[in-house]
Amino acid sequence: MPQEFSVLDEVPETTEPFEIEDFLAAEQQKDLLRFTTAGSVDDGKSTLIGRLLYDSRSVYEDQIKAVTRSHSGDASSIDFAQLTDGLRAEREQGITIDVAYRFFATAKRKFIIADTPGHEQYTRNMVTGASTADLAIVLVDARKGILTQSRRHAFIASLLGIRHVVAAINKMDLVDFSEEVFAQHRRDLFALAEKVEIPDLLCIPISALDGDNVVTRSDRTSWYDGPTLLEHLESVRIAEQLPQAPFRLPVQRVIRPHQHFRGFAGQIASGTIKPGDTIVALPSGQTSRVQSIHTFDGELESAFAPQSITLTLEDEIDISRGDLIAHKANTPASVSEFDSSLVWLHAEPFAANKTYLLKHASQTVKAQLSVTQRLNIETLEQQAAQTLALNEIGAVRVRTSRPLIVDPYRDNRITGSFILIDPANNATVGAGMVRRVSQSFEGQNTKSAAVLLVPQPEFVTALEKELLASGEDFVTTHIQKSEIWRTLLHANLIVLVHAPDHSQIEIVTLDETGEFNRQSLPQCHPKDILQKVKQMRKGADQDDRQF
Amino acid sequence: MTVSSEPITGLVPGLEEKIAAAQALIAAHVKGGSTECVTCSFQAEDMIVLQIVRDLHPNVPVLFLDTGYHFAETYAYRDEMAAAWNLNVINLTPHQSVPEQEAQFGILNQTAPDQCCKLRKVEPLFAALANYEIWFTGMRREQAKSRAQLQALDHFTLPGGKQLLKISPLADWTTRDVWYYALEHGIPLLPLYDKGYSSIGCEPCTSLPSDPNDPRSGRWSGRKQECGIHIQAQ
Repeated sequence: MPQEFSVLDEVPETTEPFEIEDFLAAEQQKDLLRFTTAGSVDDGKSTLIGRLLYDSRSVYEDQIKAVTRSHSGDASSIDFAQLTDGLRAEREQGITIDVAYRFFATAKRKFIIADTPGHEQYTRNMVTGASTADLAIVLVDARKGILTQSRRHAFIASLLGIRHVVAAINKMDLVDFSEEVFAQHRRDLFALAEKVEIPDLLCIPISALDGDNVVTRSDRTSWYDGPTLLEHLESVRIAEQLPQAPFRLPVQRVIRPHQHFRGFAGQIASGTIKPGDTIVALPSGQTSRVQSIHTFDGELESAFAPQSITLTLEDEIDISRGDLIAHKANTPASVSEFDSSLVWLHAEPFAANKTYLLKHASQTVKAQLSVTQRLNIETLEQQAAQTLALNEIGAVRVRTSRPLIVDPYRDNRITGSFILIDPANNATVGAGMVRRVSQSFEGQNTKSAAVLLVPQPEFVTALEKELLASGEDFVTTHIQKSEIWRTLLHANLIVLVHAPDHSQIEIVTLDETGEFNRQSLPQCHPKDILQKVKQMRKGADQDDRQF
Repeated sequence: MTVSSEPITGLVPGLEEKIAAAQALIAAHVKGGSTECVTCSFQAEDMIVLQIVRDLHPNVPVLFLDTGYHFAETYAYRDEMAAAWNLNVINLTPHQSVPEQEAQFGILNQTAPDQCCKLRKVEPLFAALANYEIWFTGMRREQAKSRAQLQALDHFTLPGGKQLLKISPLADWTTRDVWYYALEHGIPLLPLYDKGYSSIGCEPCTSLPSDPNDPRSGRWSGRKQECGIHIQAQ
């Protein structure tokens, strides 16, 4: 049996008077590890979490008393699973929580566990709980080895970009702490990790019930020389690739306290920025250089993810809430078509001809999707498919009504993920991770707008309806002034001009040199005109549509 | 993948595009200088235009026609919003105060509403507009038959001959678009809407709409459609 003491006992008793400020300052210094647990029903997930909380002294005495079977009060009589589930039940009173976030801390680190109850909606919950996690613990029953569920969990962890996975081989006490059993599971798991591309896997033999290798090292696994679960959680280096990744700042607010200050505030999603860096604002494509970086605590020489900052720029360029600021040298793609992985989260299966709402970063657009493949969770192979049912994972091609600024999910969890909403009932039906983006954004506007000069008023009305139905951004005017058109074209708008002095419909666009390009059209159907405009646009950004 | 409440504006077909077009139209013309202004009666449409403009140009002049005849609720709401949004409200007042005018001409809004509008709205506004080049309004085509031909972008010529660019970003918005946008963006609205008013001007000349399909049917008891400011829009 493992010795009954906790890591906290190793902290030397201090004789100094306890200063709350010092304590809080020390707490602030500790870094935070977010992790999620995944396991099938009866894998011992609740017991493991209960054990972690108990051994790290993160539960109150009365909570322990409530789940103690005898009055002896030693750990062997505590029902750890009930401890976890009891806390869960407590939290569920009054509100429905699919994912319970549990907080605990040791002397070295703070932890947040996303505890996902393992009922039939496990995939949905795991996706929700794991999407912000640094590490995932996948529980494996030592008696059963890798099950379909374990494969699914490993795959989702990989899909969500969780780099660190711990396979906790639980219930080792029921296989007599057999080194051979552990070695066999370990081999299988590493093979799985290679298949689903998990870069960091650690297998630990544990018994959540007895506490072996959870917090304290077990003397029943002398053949195991790796860390205990908590040692690993405390020491695993969450390689924050965020600061090295390309710079992305989704603008949450434009701050203009007075005429002489215009700052763009937001939390850096990834990367590092410093004054003097050349940036590009998206979707406008305008460039400038960073003048200064402000925070609540004063100006900074450089800032990195996940800091919240306010940037000022050297030039007055138009940036508003929802826009994105990136390094000029490494800009994300602005695309309306991309490949993605999709986890289907709703009982009603995916419908091919339906228009869904797609929420990405701070934007919501309409989207049509086509499923190309579905993952066979048994073999981990992709099979051709047209639809997805609840909990299924597939590959999809996404087409959006307006361009989105996206990164592949592996590069950026924020600009690389989206959710799908059913417009009929507002339900979240799917979660997507962008896999492949065709081409990088060159700092140019992706659309070339057009001026449509139309002589007949009734035709103007018909065109308006058509433009509205096809989701184009347009304005109406009867001003025929090139400077005004130019401004509107630069704003990526279609300008619908009522021009009674014209005999024919005319389409005016801007060419690369900024000159007007005029083209007359014979009388035709509004749809044909729209088609013509779309063609002219396609010509301008054909490189964007490779697939 | 934070699952949060979804924007209801996404549920109205075409509204996202209308919002994007309105924002683009405004952004293309807001330079943050002293040439732009927003006229604001503090009705829902004006508040939306104002919200988008002030995001880009917090100090934009907000011209309010302080006729002296507005509802107490309108004045209270104006002051609340001016404080909450830190607005640069410019109250345009007529030459004569209400008692002065009533002493000289009697109660014009009963005898000659056109004349009253002219003195208390049209003249002060036109005088003020002469200081600007770009004029943002919250006008919509749906508001009245007289606005059916409204253009999002138009020239407006003042009596003195000066020409302004008049921009009505919400020209093709429906009433529903307006409510959804305001709800989605947490814009508090003039409480008079809750009492059933659908178009709100001066108190003596605003009643509850007589025709539920015509939002402006409560204005001037149906005797006229426009105060005179927007007549050129026809």
